[in-house]
Amino acid sequence: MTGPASPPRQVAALVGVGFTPFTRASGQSVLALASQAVASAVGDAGLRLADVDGMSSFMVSNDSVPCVAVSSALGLGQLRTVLDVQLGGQAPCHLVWQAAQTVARGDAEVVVVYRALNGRSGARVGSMQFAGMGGQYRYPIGYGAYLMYVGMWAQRFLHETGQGPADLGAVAVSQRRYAQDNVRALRREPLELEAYLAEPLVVDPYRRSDCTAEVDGACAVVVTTLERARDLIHPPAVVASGCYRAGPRPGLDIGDHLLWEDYTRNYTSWLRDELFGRAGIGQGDVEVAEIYDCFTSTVLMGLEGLGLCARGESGAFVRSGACGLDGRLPTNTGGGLLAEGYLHGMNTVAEAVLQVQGRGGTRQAPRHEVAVVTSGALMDGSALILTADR
Amino acid sequence: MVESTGHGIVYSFVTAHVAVSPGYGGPLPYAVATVELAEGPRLLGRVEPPGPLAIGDRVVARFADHATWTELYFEPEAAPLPQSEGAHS
Repeated sequence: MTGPASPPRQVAALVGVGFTPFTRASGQSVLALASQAVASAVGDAGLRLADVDGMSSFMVSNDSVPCVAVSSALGLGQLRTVLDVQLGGQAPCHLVWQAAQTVARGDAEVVVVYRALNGRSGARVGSMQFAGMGGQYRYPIGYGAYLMYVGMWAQRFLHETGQGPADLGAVAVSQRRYAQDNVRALRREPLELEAYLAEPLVVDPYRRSDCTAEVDGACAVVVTTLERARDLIHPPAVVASGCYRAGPRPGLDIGDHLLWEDYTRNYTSWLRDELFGRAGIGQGDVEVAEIYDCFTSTVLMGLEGLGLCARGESGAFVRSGACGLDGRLPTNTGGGLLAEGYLHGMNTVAEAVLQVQGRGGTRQAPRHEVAVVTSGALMDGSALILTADR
Repeated sequence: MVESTGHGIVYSFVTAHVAVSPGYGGPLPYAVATVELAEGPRLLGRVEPPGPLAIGDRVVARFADHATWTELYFEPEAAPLPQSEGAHS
């Protein structure tokens, strides 16, 4: 695969982020959560709600509310573009890239991308039943939970790359350190490798700390033209490149992998050349990484898939401290989905924005001009490269 | 269409120590494997009995009749294959 021949088009930027608190029981409707996060992101960017003329969002089995509902709740003016997609964690980078292209075309000028759900107190994706298709063959034999599907890949990945529990554990430990500095994070108690290894297995190879923390909450980011972004209060996080990819025969649903040949390589391997090629940026230029981490193994697979680590070396990389704040590649600097909470990767994008803007506070990476973000764990997913305005 | 003898090796597997799969009420722990049949295609099934399992283990397909459906599951075979690594990175 090669990148497109045209020069990088850097004409859109992320300019603001918004969050609700992440909790185990919000006591609020998803519409209220979504509206709160959207309004907060718009305000953070220094824009007015009346400036918003585009929205996009994603949901799994109708666990969220559509864009027009949020637009109505907030009393927005007219929307010139809208996109509600039935996707999970594959979506955030994809939707931001779509929004970037939308504002680049002039179809809208200010697009808000959000994810909102009562993912803890309401419908929990991790144990949701999906009707029909592949599920009818999986539920009767007790193979029906998301962590089992990703675990099936992890087991093969660890086997082929010669890695093991200490490598998974290093990811959990590294990210928990960041979470201690993140007031939004659900899991902030310290975690050391010994304690990790002492945790009982839930589904081999995963322990509790390998798994994301399901939460109630919402997160939103604002995309606009680079030209307009330069007039706003925070420095722009320029959208240098974006990419979605489903590898061949991605299956009937999230749990159907029987026709996927290689469980040790996910979508990151398939999109990396196009992602970096389009940005005109090399792996060695990346200064911050926010890798989708519903489970620890997807961080290792993502680091290797994107070419940020050589095959089989991601565990040693994380164990060396390279992903820490003073390491070579600060990674999942908000604690990630593992510790901050499972906003299905929308918060992964938001953390990258904060880092590139230099707003990471006590967890700010010292070098933060180029960040890579991913969305998704298995057959399909998306990614972004964000840069400082340079 | 591929006719299979039912023999295969474990491509990957998970062992559930906690009942995380919705609706599952069977014994714990239990193992589910992705099995690569000798003829090529892969199948998914429980491995029964669920003892220690490793990638590359040889298994053979069996059928069990339940009240309303018939289950295809796998049973470990005694002798491991000479090269049970299966690594082709």
